[in-house]
Amino acid sequence: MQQENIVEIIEKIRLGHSDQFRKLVEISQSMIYSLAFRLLCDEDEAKDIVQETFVKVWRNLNSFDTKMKFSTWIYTIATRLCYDRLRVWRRKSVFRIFTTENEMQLDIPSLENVENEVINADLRRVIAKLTSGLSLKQKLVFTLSEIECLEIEEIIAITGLSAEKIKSNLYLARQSIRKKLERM
Amino acid sequence: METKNDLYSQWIDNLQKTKPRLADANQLTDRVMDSVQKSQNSAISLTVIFLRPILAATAVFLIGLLVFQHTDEAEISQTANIRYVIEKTKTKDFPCGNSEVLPTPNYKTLLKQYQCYREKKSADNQDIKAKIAKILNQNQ
Repeated sequence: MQQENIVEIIEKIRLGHSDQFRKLVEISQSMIYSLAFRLLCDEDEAKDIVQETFVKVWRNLNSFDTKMKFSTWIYTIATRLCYDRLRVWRRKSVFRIFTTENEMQLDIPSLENVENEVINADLRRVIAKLTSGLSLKQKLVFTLSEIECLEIEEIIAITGLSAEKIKSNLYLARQSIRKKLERM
Repeated sequence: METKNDLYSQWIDNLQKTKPRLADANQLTDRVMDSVQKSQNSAISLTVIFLRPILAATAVFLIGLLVFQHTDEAEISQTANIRYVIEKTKTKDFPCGNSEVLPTPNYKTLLKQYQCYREKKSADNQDIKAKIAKILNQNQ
């Protein structure tokens, strides 16, 4: 979706057409879900992040500068929420183990969702394995830069880190992942 | 080194291509809209919760101010009445001495007024005595 169309929708919402917010959610929820899933490696948590992100978007829509890219703004909100959650997990030493046995105890998915479940489970395992040894900042920069393919300027705006810090974190993340791939 | 890089870029390519699947997109949209609606309602109730003590405090302050002003006015009118009475009594009962109204009668002026009152009364008594004597003389 073009930035102009999104701005048009936002202007309508600002004018009181709150039904247009649903359109905005439909357009951008998948990209937020994707980012949250890749950072948290958990479907339910990713959905929670989507929900919290849009609540924040709704509350702060009037302060959104339409000159700014909407995707950068919404990514910033979602990334900060994910980062906070990761920090809490790390502080509480929550070990999220992604094994097949662990997944087996969950509800058995319907046939239509089997493919989705398998793809998500594979993705979750791979990302968790590759990024497990990274620091939070390294994980954040790696996901935004290498997986989400964002430009460095956007990463600066989203994370608030300097270009040098982003580069050094990305370098360390790459090194760590390469070493893991060698061992695999 | 090249194979290492190849392996890395291969993995990254796969990760980029494989997007996480969202099976129930509509359900998620509904959930988001519900929470937005709830947050809207909770924002209103939060405003009410925060405003309630402020409004109560303002009401108490205004009531206090009104009561204070009312008692103040009553006191002023009461003082005015007292002054009026003092003035009247001074001019009526104490023609001798200083008849001008003093804003705050002190001990000295009160004594003067008392002395004046006594003098007047003794003069009155003498008059009465003289009148009684006169009546008695006439009867005899």
